[in-house]
Amino acid sequence: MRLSHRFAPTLLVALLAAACSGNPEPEPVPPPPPPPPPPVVDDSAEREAAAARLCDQAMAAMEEGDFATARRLLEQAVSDYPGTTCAESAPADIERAMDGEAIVARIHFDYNESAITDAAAAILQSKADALRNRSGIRLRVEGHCDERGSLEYNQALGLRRAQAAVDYLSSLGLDAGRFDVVTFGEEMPLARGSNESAWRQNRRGEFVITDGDI
Amino acid sequence: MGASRVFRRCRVAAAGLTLAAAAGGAPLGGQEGGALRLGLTYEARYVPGMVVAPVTARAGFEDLGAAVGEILRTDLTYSDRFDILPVPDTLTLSGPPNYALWNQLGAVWLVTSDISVAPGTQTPLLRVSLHDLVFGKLENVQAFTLPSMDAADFRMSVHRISDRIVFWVTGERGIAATRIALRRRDGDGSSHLLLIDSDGRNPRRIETGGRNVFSPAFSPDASRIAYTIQDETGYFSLVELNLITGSRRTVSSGRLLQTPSWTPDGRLAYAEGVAGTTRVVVEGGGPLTEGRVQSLNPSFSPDGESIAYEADPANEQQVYVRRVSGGPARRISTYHPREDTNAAGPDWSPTGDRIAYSALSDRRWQIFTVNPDGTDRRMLTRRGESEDPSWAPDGRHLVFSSIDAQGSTVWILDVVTGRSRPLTSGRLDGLPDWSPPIPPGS
Repeated sequence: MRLSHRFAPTLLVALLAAACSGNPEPEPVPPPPPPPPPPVVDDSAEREAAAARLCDQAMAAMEEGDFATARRLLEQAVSDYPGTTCAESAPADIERAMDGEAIVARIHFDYNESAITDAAAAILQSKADALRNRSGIRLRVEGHCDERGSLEYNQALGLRRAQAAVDYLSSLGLDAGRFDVVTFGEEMPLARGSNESAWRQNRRGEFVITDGDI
Repeated sequence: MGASRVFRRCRVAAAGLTLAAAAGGAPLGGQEGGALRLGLTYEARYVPGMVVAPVTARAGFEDLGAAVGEILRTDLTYSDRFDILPVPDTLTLSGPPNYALWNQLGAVWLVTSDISVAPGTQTPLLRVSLHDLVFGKLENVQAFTLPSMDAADFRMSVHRISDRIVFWVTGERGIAATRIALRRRDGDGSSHLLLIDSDGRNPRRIETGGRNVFSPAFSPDASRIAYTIQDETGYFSLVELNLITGSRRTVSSGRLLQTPSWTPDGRLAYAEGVAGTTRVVVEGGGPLTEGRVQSLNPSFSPDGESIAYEADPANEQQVYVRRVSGGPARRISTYHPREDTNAAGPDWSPTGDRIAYSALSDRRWQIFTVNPDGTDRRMLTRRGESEDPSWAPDGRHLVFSSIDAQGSTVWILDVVTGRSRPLTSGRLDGLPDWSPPIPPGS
């Protein structure tokens, strides 16, 4: 007890000094921990197997059309297991996954509008680039709406939206015959709720691969 | 006596304006706190008092008598043309009715009935008498053979008798012998069709084969129903189902088929998606609307010469009327630029004099009616969101869907008295269509 009393002022001064010393700016984020030291034992077979598992998962995700997950898994394989067979073949697969992401990327629309917005145009341009590389791909282009407006009007509005997306892709030189134009109206909302945030997410065009491999 | 009748008339007229669900107990309930509010735009019309006396049944037919009496009483209540006065359960009628007594109790009409058997058979025979209590005379009497209680058409047969009574009093046919088709959503995002008698009884699920089904519409003879289905890939089919034989016919398939309707002579009209827009066509005929305008939801005048539909030339859906033979379209809904005044889903009354539709009012969908020339527009509902009106054959009752926080329910409204009742207690119901009178044998 005594001891702590005797040392307490010193501790306080030290704390104050630490608090007041120097820089008012926030401390820099500490650098990521260094990579683990190279293994001493030979675990290359285990590394190869772990990488292969990641790559298999990535391919499965790609099969399911979940290109974002596929890309993340492949990038993880490249960074965590450099030098494995899987990591060496991954860059081509990453490019495929990125094309896949671009091809199925959603676009959004303004309220009661089927006009292609600037943001949607940029997404459609990436999509067109990816589709040009992969001429075997066919897409179902789905128009969706928010819950406002009558159900039947929204079916028609969804069709207009899907058609507007296909018209834009055609204007970029793609064959309109590669696209099926359909509408789901307000039947398949992405987000539940009667607020602007949900409505904004639900006014959209979806692109579903119906034929051809990425 | 004259003065007391005038007084009674005023009293029952006022009662007719109350906004509660019709007396007698809705079969399926679901009116918690009254999610629906009606606009006070109804005529204060005289609603005469009526007594429906218990059915006098001979031995062995007591259950049949009780069932028939219950149906008649409910039907006449739901006709919204009478103030059905309570009768003690213990009341038994013997001898001629005491007209003066009933009239003093506030009744203008008395319905009595008894069950006997047809001579030489065991077929039950219902004899119905309508008494005019004011003039103290038998107004009408007729005997009807009854099917057995477990026959499929038992209730519908009694509904037809109710409609006959309404006709005796008013000269207009009642609407008890009708059905309503509606779309019910399932929990998994799919939907199916439901047929339900106008009193809310006898629901019948119809499998359609599609993931989703939309917009059922009865043919003018009530023998068929048209609807559209959508499959998993988004493609639509327009289907005609024969309700008597069960046979189905695919009328058309494509990327958008919607809002089927019938011409008075029994041809199908509908909207189809073409090159990113929709237009109204008649089966076996040409398009009724053209241009880069989204047109849908046709409804024909009873003479077949005019059509009401919705279209969006200014990027906002509105209701228009035009001649089928051509000529300009006239907007009959209210349009204010820079406000949300969308209007949708017109339904031309079978009596020809009014068009019902739904439109945004204060950003919520409500039910309106208007003359076909666009005059005398009336808003019938307030609060909640109400859509998809469809007229009963009497041109005074509407069925529509009403959405509140709990979901979507189908309601029936008498536009004359303002009385309303929920038809379903489901919370996932919409797109109702009211049938023409159901003929015997279907």
